[in-house]
Amino acid sequence: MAAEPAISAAGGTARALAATRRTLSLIWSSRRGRIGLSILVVFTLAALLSPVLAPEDPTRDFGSEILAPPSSDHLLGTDGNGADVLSGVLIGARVSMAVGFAAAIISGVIGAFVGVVSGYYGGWIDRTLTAIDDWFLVIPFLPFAIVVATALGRVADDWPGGRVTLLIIVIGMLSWAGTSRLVRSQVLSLKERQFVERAKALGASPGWIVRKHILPNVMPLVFANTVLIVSATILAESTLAFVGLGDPLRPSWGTMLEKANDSGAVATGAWWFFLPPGIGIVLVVLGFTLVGYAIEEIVNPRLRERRG
Amino acid sequence: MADREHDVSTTATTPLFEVRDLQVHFPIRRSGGQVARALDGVDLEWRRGEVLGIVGESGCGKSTLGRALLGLQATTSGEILVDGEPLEDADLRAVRRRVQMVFQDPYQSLNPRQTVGAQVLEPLAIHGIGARGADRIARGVAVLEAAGLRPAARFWDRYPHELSGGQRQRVVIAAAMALQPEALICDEPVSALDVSVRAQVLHVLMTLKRERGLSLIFITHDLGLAWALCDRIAVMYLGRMVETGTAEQVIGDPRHPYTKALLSVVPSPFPRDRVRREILAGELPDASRIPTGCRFHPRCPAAFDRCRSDDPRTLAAVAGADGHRAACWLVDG
Repeated sequence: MAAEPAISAAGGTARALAATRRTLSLIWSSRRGRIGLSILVVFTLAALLSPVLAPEDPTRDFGSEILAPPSSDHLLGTDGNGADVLSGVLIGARVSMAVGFAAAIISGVIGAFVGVVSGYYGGWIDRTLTAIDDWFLVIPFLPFAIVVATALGRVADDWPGGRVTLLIIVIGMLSWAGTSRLVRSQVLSLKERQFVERAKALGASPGWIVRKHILPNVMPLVFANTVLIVSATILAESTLAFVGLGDPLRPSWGTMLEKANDSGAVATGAWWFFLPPGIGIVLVVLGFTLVGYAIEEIVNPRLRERRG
Repeated sequence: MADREHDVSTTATTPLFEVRDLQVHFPIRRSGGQVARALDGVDLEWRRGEVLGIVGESGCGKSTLGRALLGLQATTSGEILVDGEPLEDADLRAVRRRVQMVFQDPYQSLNPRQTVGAQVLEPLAIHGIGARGADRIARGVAVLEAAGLRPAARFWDRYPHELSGGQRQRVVIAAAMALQPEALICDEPVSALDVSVRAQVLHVLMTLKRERGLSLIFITHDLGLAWALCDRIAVMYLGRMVETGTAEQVIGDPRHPYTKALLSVVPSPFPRDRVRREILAGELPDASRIPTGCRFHPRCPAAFDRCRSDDPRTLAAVAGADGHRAACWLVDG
């Protein structure tokens, strides 16, 4: 007889790794997943390596000719301050993606928490949270974000990360409502499942049931949703930066677009100034959307049949 | 083992569970305050070390009763006593440690994202039994193997969807047994399983019962199964007990027309001595519209005038048969 496989308590990490690998290969197996993932890998590497890759510091090196077209010195030309546009795009990728990610994580955490609590506990807790949720769903995002970001702009200058941190918080706080709705409905159906009742019969407390049985079963959904939300938060950051609420010391793609607009680049036909950040935004948003849909198809059994 | 035997004899007078006039009503939405009476005055006694069968059609309230015993179902009125103490005063967590439950559908009662190992360790972690790590794992392995999943290491890292129905039900039983309960409530434990694995799972349950002196409740719609496994049987109809007694009494000499009808339709392997089948007319009435008088009278072949007006509320003792009772006006009290 073959040797019995050993049972160990430390199988968790290996299992998590295997699950991650399985998820990635599932994403890769769909065409849009493949395209999205490739785009994201390229841009993430560029963003992470931007301090090394960028030829100049776009917030400091203003020595060159203003609005010069692409040349061997400046592959993507220079901007209205005479700074290198390629460097700006690389550093901007870092800021845009960091804000997008961080804000989406905040929205995922709040959305999951509110959704689980209101779905599982029900009653007046549910009614209160649903009312708050409704409120966040219907307030027009842009005016509200502009008001908050403007009001707190000065204060945020002293924070670590400056106004970028403020943008992360504002965008994150304003984009969780859809996630919590989704999670709540999933929890409502999960809590009626027999394995939850069985856990109760085993003597588990509500907190235990939420941690061990509800959360693990809603996390894949939250994950898929959060990836989709990243594209929305990146767009939101670009919008707010474009209207002047970005951090001048930490320019994002939106900040670049704002500067291009202010310096009349569009009117003078200096396409090298506004096209690169614009294309960057479009591609990254597309990448997150494609990957998000690919993951959604994996975790949502109702969409699974559509996979081809 | 000797200690346990001793326990049984000294406390034999107090039943493990006693249910008195239990009512569970469910409000019906948009009905203007109507209720469905899932349990409508149930009396029951579950003695220590006893295998008690609760038999009835789907919708008669037998699962609701099982869930109510563990406090999983809010009750409307009536009493549930555990060791003579009201359930609402008892520490539910402690009760649930002593009395475990096996659910009907093993496809639904396991968390799809937990491995077999995690499922059997969970009850130990909930109650803080044993030391985290090797000690608990050893206990988990032991209960899995006792439930017939041998070698346990082969199943430990598998997920429920990789197991057959019978194997899943064994995992459920193993997890319940991990707490070393004194009693087990089995709600249709094999009705979702293939006939070929039913016997194996029942064998596991009966072996555990014999070796550990468990008290068992079998909730089932299968009278044959109840007869094979149970010491005593309680027959339920529309939220109330209609006949109780030892398995021999209820199956061998049924007194309530409902029990008789149920028995007559049990398929017999000997078609020649087939008794006259008593096919019940109509369907189980709605629990929100329980008939007046005897609740069984609209379907009863032996109903007479009194049945339409008077409710046989208390079960009448069958003369000359100790403990055999039936809620029927035809049984002389």
